[in-house]
Amino acid sequence: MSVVQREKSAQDFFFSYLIKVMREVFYFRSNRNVNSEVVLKQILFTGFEALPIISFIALGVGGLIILQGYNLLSNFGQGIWVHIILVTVVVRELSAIMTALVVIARSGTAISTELGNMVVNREIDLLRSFGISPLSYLVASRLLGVMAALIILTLYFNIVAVLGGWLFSTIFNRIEFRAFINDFMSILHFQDIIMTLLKPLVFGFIIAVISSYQGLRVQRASTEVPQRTIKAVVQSIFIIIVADILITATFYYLS
Amino acid sequence: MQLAFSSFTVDDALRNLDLDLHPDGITVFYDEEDKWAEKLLRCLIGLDPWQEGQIYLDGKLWDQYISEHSLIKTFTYVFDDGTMMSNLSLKENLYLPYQLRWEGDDLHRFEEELASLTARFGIDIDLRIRPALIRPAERKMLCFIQALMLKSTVLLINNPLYLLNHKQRDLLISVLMEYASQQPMIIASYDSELSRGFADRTVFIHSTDTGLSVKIQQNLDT
Repeated sequence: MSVVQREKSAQDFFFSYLIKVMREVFYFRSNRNVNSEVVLKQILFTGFEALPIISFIALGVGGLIILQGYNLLSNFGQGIWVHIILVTVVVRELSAIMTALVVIARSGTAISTELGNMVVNREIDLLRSFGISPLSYLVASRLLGVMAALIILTLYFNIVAVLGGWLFSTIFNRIEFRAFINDFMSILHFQDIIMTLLKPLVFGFIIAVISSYQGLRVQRASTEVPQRTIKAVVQSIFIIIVADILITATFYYLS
Repeated sequence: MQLAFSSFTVDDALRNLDLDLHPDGITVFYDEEDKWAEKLLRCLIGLDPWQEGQIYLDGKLWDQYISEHSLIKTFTYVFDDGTMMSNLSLKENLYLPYQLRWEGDDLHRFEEELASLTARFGIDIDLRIRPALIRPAERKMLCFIQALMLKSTVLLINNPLYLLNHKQRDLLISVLMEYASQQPMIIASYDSELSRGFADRTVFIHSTDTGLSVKIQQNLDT
């Protein structure tokens, strides 16, 4: 069996595909086909171009949590504890999930569609005819780009959500920004920061692997492209939620 | 290079093929059905799998030869529809395999060779644009330029005249004949024009009730 044949059959089985992609990423520094320009373009598309929608969602989510939390807790005279809700809900959970959903909607669909169209237009065959592995040239670069962009976006989401929370909290209380941040920092643990960094890393990996896998599974017809893209979106959301539960459960168990 | 298909089987129709040839100059795989010749080229470049049998290159198994010499140094394949990467500019498309083939970033040499070949093919296009923005025939001509710049051991071409008008066909045939002395070419074609007065040898391929029939004919008039 030739090298190219082995690669083709590997794509038919998700786990062999996963292992090959991980190997490509692991050795990316020595891999001539992993293009730093493609990685940067992916970070630009996934990260920078998603900033407006992320800002809007983060500001809204941060504000709404403060609004709802303050209304609820002030009934018991505990309005000050709204920061705990902000850390628990936004920093530990929502920031990574919301950012991942935006990235699935924008970049996951784009990766799946682009690779699917490349298969239909025989561009994948073209790369293979040069002896270039599509996994290292197309997939590994996008994977690294999505993972890096998701970490940056999640951190950005947290910052904007906290700022949104403070802006909304000033509606109820004339609270100083420094005091708000001090309260916030006092309940933010090192474990929360680790979770904030780990989740987007895992989610970025899941989104890029599933989207590229589904894109490369397209056979001949262009009508397969939207079908594969839908599969990529549904599977990414499902696996991300499962991964989120597992990561959160592991952290609670360890602490 | 000595090229041999031994007991080569792809599917029920293409089975137990034995073909041994020394593809100096131009070899045309003439296939009226426009099916098997392309299949053989795709197997040679490693794009399609085969079920049984072997391909030998200079007496070595395909896998062994390719791992020793690399695919891009051994074969270059020109697709019939002028396939290019849609996310790269024309120039990036031309440079991507060139960089890999010559293992370096000699942009100056690349620019020189590119200028000479675009002039030879009479192409005057802004190479910073994407492939989708030019006509398929122009894209196909650029694919020939890309392939000739790689100077692989054997150039594989699928249906070279497809998409081209009469003038472009004449130009292409003259360029290929010019380069054939420097680089062996195997051409898959259903166009009988190519098997007469152009090829050094023609391999006639057609399917029969018992399988595939292959006949090699040396063209003495070329």
